[in-house]
Amino acid sequence: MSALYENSVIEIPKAPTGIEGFDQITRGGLPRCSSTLVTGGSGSGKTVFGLQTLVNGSRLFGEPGVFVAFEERSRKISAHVATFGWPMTGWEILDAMPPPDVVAIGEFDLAGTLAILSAKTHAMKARRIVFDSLDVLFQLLPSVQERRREFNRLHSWLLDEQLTAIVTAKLDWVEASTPPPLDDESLRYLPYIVDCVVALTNRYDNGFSQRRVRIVKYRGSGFSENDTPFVISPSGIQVATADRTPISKTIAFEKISTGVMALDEMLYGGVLRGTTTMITGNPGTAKTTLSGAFAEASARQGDKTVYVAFDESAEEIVRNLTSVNIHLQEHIDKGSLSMHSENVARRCGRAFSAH
Amino acid sequence: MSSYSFILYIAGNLPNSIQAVLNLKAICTDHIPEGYRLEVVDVLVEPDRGLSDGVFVAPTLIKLEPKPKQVIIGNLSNLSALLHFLGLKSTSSDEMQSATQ
Repeated sequence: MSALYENSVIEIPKAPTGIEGFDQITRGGLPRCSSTLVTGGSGSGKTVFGLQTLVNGSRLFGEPGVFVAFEERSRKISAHVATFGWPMTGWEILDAMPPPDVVAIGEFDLAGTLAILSAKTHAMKARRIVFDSLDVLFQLLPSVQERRREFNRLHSWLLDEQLTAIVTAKLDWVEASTPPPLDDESLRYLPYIVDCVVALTNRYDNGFSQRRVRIVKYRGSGFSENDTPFVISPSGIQVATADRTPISKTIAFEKISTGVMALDEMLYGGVLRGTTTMITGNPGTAKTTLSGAFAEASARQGDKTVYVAFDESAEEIVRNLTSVNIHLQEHIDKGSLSMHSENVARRCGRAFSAH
Repeated sequence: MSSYSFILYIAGNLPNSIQAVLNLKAICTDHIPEGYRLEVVDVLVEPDRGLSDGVFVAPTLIKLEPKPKQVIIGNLSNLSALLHFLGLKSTSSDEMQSATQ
């Protein structure tokens, strides 16, 4: 065990996040010129945490930053940033989302990726970088050995470049300190390589959202070991203390109707334009009906609408939906709705079976 | 009358990049006798080119023609997968080659 662990007075250099409360529980912020893994399930606040650290780095501490977006298009992230009223100056978003139909044939490595990033970070004199989310890229690497090798490559690149880095990953087992499920086995080494691990969770308790942050490990530093509540307020993440105002329900984007009035009410006016909504349910639970209602409402209000079906023909869907008073044909005739059915399994079985 | 046109993004002389160039050239020579267009972009020399083309991994192969545009990453070492993906037919010599590998 190193002397640093025995003497809590001498601590490693830190880069403050400027996030209220977080810099307190970590006694100063993230490890400087090192990497921090931020884990959590979907919607746990990983992206916001990364963005806020970059925005604050630039506006409060004069440290330019780069946000490498593997998971969402930069347009969406900019819109996200705008909802918090954060400036887009002094830091940049790089679109690094792999094309949805990309196929991996043979081995690859991150050397090219890092060369491109070096060019960018040097030009910007960047001091901070966020990779959101790394598992998107790593899913393209076929084996555990390759993922480990490439993460080590990334880690040493960060050290060489003297960057303070946040790497996000959807690993909800880290927080629970339990062994990873089998399909996450290949990422289980991640927490061991980085110097700091921050786990974010979002649980529901009696219908209330309970967001919590926990520092799972922090090499060379003391930290608060308990779960600490946080909220994502209109101005960003705020960590701790009991009497914060609850999460705001103010919606800054245009909502569009789902075609079902009661559902629109439940969603405060519908779904956000430009977002993706997943409908799940067993056979016969009205997934297609809901999709049809949405398509009809969308076409009726004048939006060009495309309906893509994977298990029924367009004609069948149009016919069957008339029985629940959803009439798509008139919109098809007018040209505001276009229907497509495709048998995915046949068309690109190989790409799918290769994951 | 070939209409095959590719851009291959590589990272200098790193092993996977060299492998990708060799694999692609070999398969094109054997399977597109009528000729093809290939542009090789080295992201170590032209990092901005990678950024502006939205390419973040090297090697990345983009097949521009024939349509549809397709994106493949990796060193292209799986011959039969590459042939299949590019819509090219394998020959008996390919099978012998993969059998000996």
